[in-house]
Amino acid sequence: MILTTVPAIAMEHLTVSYGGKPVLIDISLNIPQGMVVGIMGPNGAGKSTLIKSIMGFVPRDFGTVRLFGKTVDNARGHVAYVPQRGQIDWQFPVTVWDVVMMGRYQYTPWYRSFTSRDRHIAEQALADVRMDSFRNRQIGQLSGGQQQRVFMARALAQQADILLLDEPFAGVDAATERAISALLTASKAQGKTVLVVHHDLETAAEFFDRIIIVNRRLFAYGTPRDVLKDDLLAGVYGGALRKINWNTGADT
Amino acid sequence: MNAFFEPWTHAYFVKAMVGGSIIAIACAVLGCYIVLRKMAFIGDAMSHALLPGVGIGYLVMNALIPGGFTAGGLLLGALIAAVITSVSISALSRIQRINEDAAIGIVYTGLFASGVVILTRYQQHINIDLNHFFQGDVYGISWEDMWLSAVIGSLVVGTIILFYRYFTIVSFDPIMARSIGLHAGFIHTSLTIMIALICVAGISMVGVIMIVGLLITPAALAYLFTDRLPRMMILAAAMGVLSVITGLYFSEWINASGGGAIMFAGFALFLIGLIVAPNHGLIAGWLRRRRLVPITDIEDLLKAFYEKRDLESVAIPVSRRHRAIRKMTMEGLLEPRVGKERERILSRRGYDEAAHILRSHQLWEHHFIEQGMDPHRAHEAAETLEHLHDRMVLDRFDDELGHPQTDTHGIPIPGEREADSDEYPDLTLSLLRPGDRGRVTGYLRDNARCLPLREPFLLETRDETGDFWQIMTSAGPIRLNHEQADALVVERLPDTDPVSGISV
Ligand SMILES: Nc1ncnc2c1ncn2[C@@H]1O[C@H](COP(=O)(O)OP(=O)(O)OP(=O)(O)O)[C@@H](O)[C@H]1O
Ligand SMILES: [Mg+2]
Repeated sequence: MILTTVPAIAMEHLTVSYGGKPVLIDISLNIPQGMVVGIMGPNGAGKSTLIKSIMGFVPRDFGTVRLFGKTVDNARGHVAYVPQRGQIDWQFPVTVWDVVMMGRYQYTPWYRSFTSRDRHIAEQALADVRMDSFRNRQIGQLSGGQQQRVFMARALAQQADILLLDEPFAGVDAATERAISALLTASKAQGKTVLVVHHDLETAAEFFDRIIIVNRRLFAYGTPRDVLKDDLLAGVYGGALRKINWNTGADT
Repeated sequence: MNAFFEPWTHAYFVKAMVGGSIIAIACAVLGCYIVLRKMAFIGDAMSHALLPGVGIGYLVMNALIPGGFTAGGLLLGALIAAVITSVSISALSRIQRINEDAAIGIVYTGLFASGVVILTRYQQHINIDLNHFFQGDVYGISWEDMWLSAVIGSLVVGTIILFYRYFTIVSFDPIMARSIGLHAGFIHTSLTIMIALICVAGISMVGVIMIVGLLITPAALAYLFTDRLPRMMILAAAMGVLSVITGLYFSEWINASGGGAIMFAGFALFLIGLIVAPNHGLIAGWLRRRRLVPITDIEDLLKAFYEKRDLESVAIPVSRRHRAIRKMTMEGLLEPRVGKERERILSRRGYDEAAHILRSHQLWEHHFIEQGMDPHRAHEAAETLEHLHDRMVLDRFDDELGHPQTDTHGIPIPGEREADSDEYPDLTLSLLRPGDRGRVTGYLRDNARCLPLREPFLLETRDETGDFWQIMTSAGPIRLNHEQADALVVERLPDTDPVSGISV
């Protein structure tokens, strides 16, 4: 069992560059277990890169990332990831059900077949995102939001302790948005740690316990109250920031 | 009848059937991944690039054990050639400005050319001629070839069945595969090696071009027929075997080359499949286009039902009209009139939809007249543009025109019925009509907070000259100005509307 005192994610001096161009500079932070954390920042700020470095997908120039005190490689299977844009061929001959079952692959070595428990978990994950009635659909015959929900269900079926979602709210309809935000709440209740890349400043306070503001450097990390301040945000977003009245959510 | 049984009395025919089928099955199953991973060109390249490996392998083996077991040499040589091909393709394509397809083209023609040089230089020592490499000799299968293909065939099919999940997830979602610790490169290499193995086993039977055909064509054909990978594999294998059987009979009857006949049969099967496939086939596509009911037909008919016009006045051919009416009934826009089952009337939803189209026409027309367009042209423009009835656009026109209750001919403009939460923006009080009942569900601006949330009301009158809305609430009558009416988000409470009926 994992000790609750160990942070789910611990970064120290994390520095990442692409071809000599630094994208993340000296980022240190601890994310305790069971938090729902938003990652915010302008386009190209390095949000996706931050997530990818937790997956061990990008080479680090310096620094460490530890998950429950283990190295990223040793913690595989504890982390589920829904990328911003997957490399998916939507014509591929798999159904919604096949895709969700892929969440169980990591528990099923090649010499074993799926158990009824695996099927039950996948069933539940599909119901959680309200896609159970689409289980026999080929994956390309869904709308963009429905596809997003299927991939969310697969991440749930992985039963990972850490959930990394890169812009799950981008381009989805109101129904999907509700389904995803219900998932965040449910995952938190199960003690999972969830990291969500998010763009909408207006809804951030209601979704997240903590917010990370990043733009190459770590600008702020704390509760929404502490982090979502006009002067701080203006510093990160520059002139691009629309001034937001946080009490009513209305434009000023 | 004899034409069917007679060939089986020859051992060469039986051997060709069995050997050919083994290769066809293994090719088809492996081919599914090749087609899905868009590796067809690599398969083609790989098979040709084996030539120098096969040639050198043969030479070396012959030198070591003269006249002896050469199959092992061929196999080893081919595998080495496959690895060299695969490594040099990925190395070359890492160079900027050399894309993968260019790299494949360069590597395989280079290797193939060196094979041609080796084969022609040592012609007298090598028992493989180029023609054989291309065409194979399905009727000259040796027992050695037979065993080789049986072993390789089961190896390939067995590997794919055992590691099915790994191959599938790496092909479908490489990012997810990587996140659970599976390496795409490893899987890619295994597939490449399997292609090389199959080529070695099959080249002496059907030749290099036909091998590529057996890898790609049955899998591509099966892909047209199904949405499930396991079924695709089984279907592809069946198609491969069917190509072998019909091809061999065909070659026997007209005395043509066996390998050529097999692939010709495969190609013919593909063409038939392409025509008849249920969803992706040509006939299905043609039927779908024919069955398609233009949305404009439906909307024109809806308007005719709403205005209780004679359906003959709608300018569409009778057969298309019948198709449209069937579709509208299926979609619940029309329903049979109680007691007169052959007659169709607008359903509740159809009525709302029709009102919406009519509103679209009137608002477009009104908008154009307001812009100074000649009324006749405005009507014609609206007739075309009414089919663009996005709520955003209509509500915007409605607001710009001051929420008129009648159009330029004095005909009432219907109000909007409801806000569809996902697709349409909010329904505001300004879009309702006198007599409508509603309930407040939100505010777009603070100045609309004169009514409490969930407060029910009845819209009594709308005064266009004074531009105010008069509503009745539990607290008594209230008068709202235009700004307030635009900012009050409401839910319309149901009432009973007259529904029109027309027989078809
Ligand atoms: N594979 C790559 N090679 C080179 N540069 C890259 C690569 N991936 C990202 N970058 C660069 O690194 C920076 C950070 O990229 P990243 O995708 O992390 O941004 P982001 O914050 O997720 O942006 P967005 O909001 O647009 O998704 C960008 O400037 C981008 O151009
Ligand atoms: Mg990103």
